[in-house]
Amino acid sequence: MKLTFELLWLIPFLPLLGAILNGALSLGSASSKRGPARGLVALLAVLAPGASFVITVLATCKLASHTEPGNTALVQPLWDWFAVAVPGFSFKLSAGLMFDHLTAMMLLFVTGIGTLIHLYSVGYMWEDRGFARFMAYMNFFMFSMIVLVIGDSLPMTFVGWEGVGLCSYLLIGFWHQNNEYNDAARKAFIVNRIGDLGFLLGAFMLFQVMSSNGQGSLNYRDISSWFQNFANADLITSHLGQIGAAGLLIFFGCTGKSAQIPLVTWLPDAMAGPTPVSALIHAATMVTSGVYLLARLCDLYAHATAPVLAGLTVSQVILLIGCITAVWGAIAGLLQVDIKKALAYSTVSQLGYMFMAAGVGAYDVALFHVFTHAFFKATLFLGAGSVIHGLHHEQDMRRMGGLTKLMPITHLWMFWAWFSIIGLPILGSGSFSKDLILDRLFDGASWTPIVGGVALATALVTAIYMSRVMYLTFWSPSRMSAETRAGVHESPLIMLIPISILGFGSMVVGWLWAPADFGVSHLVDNKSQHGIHFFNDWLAPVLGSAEHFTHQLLHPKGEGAAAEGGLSLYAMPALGSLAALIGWLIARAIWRGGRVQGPAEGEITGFSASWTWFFDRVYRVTVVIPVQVVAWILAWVVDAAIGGVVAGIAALARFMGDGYTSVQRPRLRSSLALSMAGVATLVAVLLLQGAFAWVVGLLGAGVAVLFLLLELFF
Amino acid sequence: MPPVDLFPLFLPLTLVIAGALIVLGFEPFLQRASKHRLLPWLAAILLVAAGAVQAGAPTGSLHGIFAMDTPRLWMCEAIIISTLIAIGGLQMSLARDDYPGGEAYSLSLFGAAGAMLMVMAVDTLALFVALELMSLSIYALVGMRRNRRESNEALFKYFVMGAVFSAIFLYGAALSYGATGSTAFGHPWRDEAHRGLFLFGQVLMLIGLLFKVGVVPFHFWTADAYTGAPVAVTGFMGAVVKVGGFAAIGTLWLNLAAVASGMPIPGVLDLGAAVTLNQTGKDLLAHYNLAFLVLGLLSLVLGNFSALKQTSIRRIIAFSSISHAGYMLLALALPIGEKLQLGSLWFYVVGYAIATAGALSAFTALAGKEDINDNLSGIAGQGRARPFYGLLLTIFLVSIAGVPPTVGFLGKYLIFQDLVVRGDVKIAIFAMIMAVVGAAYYFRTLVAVWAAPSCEPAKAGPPVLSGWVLAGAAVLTLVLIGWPNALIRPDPAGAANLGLSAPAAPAAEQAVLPTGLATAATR
Repeated sequence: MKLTFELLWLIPFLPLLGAILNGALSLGSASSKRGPARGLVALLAVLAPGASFVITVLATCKLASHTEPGNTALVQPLWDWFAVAVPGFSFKLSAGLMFDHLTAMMLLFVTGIGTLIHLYSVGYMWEDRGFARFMAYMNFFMFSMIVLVIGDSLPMTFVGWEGVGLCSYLLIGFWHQNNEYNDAARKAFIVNRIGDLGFLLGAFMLFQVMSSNGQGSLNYRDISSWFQNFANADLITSHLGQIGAAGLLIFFGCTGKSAQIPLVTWLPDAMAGPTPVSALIHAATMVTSGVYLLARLCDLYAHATAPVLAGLTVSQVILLIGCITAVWGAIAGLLQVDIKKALAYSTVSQLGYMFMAAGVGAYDVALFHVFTHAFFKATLFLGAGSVIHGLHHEQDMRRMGGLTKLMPITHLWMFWAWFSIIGLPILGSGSFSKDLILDRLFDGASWTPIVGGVALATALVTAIYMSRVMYLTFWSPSRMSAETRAGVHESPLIMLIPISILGFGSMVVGWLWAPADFGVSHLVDNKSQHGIHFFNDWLAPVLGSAEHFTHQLLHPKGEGAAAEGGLSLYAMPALGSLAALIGWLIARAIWRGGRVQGPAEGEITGFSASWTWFFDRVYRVTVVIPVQVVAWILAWVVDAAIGGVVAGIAALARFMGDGYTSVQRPRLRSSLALSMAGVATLVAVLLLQGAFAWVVGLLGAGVAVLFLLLELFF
Repeated sequence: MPPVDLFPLFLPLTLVIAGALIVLGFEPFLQRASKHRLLPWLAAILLVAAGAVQAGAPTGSLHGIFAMDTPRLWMCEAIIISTLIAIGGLQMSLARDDYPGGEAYSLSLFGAAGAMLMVMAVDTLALFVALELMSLSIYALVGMRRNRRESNEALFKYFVMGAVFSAIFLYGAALSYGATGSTAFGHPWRDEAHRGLFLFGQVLMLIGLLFKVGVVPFHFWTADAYTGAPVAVTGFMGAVVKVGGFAAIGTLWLNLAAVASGMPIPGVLDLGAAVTLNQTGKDLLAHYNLAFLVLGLLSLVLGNFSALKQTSIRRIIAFSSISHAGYMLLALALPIGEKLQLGSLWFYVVGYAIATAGALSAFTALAGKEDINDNLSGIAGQGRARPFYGLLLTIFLVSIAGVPPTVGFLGKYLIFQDLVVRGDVKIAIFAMIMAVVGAAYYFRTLVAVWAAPSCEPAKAGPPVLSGWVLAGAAVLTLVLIGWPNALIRPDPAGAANLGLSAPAAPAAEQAVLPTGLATAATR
């Protein structure tokens, strides 16, 4: 069912307006020393996404007030983008917005957390000369991210997809005086572009499949209803290979945006950007857009049941890639000394969890982890930013320690975020979503439980490396020099408020979906269904059909049809909490004394040392060197050949130009005569028939030539 | 077409002519300096009023002499906008030169009124009067710098050749009248004996109009007239004459197609409508079609290659205008199918007019006193010295070159698409190659504009009017691309009646993105 909501366009437009105004302020003050009025810039920058958040809440209320069954959405067509009509093929693309339950959930945290991080940025970037430019980029990022989520078709999402990629590039390289940062920005952009190729090819292929019965469309509602339509079942069966390939290509695009293997290398380097950027773009929102896209196309993935790669279906590929990435990210996180890099690898690893969930068809669980992860990871990043701010841009954990008393509020909320990410129960939202993922993995068919075992082990490693971060930063004796220690200060209120709200959120948002709720829901009202299911009930209109389809494939005989999987409700929370506890204790035993090797003399710290060297090597051999060879060939062989051709054409053009300009007669009588010859010729050719026309036409031309000759020589 | 009242139809025109008369009346009583301070503003106010009124003008025909419909409305708007731009450029140019008179503003408005009448005319006599009103004003504008030799030369050549071709047009009109017994377009010949006479008359009228738009081989005046006129005037005549001329050519061609296909006396044809062709009509017009294609291709080749050689910006624009006339002629080609429709032509004309007027008006700011910098070495680095006008010039030239994201690109795209759909794939490819050749000299100009400065930056005139107007026009150039189908080009599916029923979208509303979004939201 489609409803209209007239204010929908304001949600993306307001941040765009903010970006334009702040951009104008930034440009307008380019020549002044201090830059534009910071208060005004800050007000515009925070109000714009804040207002978007308010409108999102209004739209969500309107959506929630319609309780008819089926997939309800608020839509707003904007304009016809373009239409192609050549014989035998017609295609029309309209730009429009769509706000359904999935969009509502994504937008609420994108705009909500986005606004908080904008507020935080005001404090963090206040002293920077490029404050207005930074805020303009951030607002433009919000605009792009909102378009990505609210667009009603793959092309609209692609516009946002490219926009966030651009903003990511601009913001990673924000301090562009540092060339390493620029390299990091370029790397992020180029790796993402490689993924984008997959996105586009996948979209084209999907369109082609759907065109086979004349219903080609790139609109999300059309796509899902095409796959859900029973009349298309035969068509789907006969095109399984193409559907699988389309799914795989789009997933390749997602690996770029969401930093999964093989396109993982850019995210750790992306920590070159200011910390609010890492929190907003590289933890909470942009990197999860891959998961969003998979959930948006869940019907495609549910129906792509044929093997496409090494005997695996697309979903199994996603599952395996997610698993490998999660393990690898966790191990890499264990070895970092830079606090932001440790968090970046943790993000990579957590994204792996989300893709694992999507790989077993549990899209709602994947999105739930996106949701909780946005809270606790944003808190961790903002807390890390607060630490970096307080220590005057020190990011090396080997030079930290003992900050608990010096930065009590930062520590408090980082503690709860840590509590959440390692998976300690009840007051950590991470445990709810992570345990659900484990539950779905153990519930799966054939070898999926093995993946579940690996994921459980990874949870243990996660607990170890995150506890390590906490011990090295807060809970170990200080390793700072005396003067650094004297300069440490708690961050200003404007930074602490967003941390506090997000930290509190990371404590409680898990309760939106608590299958194992320790009896709480029975206290509220004694329903037959166990647990709180607000979150997945909310998403059911969008994802329910695909999940039902996958579930039927897994359990054809109806076994395990109970609401929550095969294992006992409390098994996964218990196992997950146990893993967290053990991991914490291991970390405590190793790092509580702050035993860590200090940075060696002359060692380069910062962004150069990286744990992506393996993939960087692989890319060096497989991509960079071939490209350089091709570039060399192009530069020295093709370029010379083309240059010759171009020079030849230019010479020809000059020659012809000379010839034609000599037709341009300076004298009036000759140009008039030539024109009249033209008139005579034209009239003759148009009006007279047959040979006579030719005779007169040639006569006219002859007269013209005669005139020219006379003119030239006399 | 439904009948329409005189007053609402002519109100915008009346405002333009009133502006011309008011300016002319005030002119002798003003100090030399204040002439250029006051008169352009007076003219601009009346033009803006005319533009606003024009946006809501009724569609229909007035006694079968004048008509108004969606394409005509947009072309009238384009004329008004181009004139506004030209007034801004003229103000800058004349104030900088300390020009003694202010009659140029009045003449521009008279020229605009003539062009608007040409757009609206559906009767040969009305068309002729309109044509002469436009031409005479522009002759006077071209020869404005009386003490300059090239200006006088340009005026003399243009005037003499113009007079000859006006006579040809009038002769054709007389022959057509003799063959049909009516001065209105769209009247069939009286009997078979008069068919030849009728066609002869139509061809002569066509030739008279093809001269006005500067198609090869009637293009000889273009280079001299464009170069002799002040830069601001060059932009004005390039834009306005093209709109008026092609509106008249399109009207004539659509009516000819309708008459040749034996349509019953149709009253007045909507320029956006599709004319249904039958085999007789197509056979009869096959020659004409070929002539359009040949002349179009000749114009493309000659215009583009001659422009490559030039160093004067005005001459480059002159030859480029010949090549653009070529593109527009290609848009007139007959379809393979049944319906002849000129939507892409109207879109192209509107986009070209605004961009050309804008480009030369922006160039005025860089051209220096008495346009002394008008060559590639003279404007070297002027863009850096005055980045605002440099940027505007860049936008307009990019649009004329036909590079996205500008309206010029969309115009070319639509014409090429039409050619492909009509089956003229080879011609479309050739035209595209010519567009690449054309891009060479536009970008050569732009490279010069942004190169390292080599001479004194041009002295600024009073910039207020031209700055605002040009910025608005640049926005329009970039924004119009968002309405490829809704603007002028009617939907191919429901083409037959769309020209009549399509609501007139006001220019001012479409120009600003938020309002556009809002109208989309309310739809």
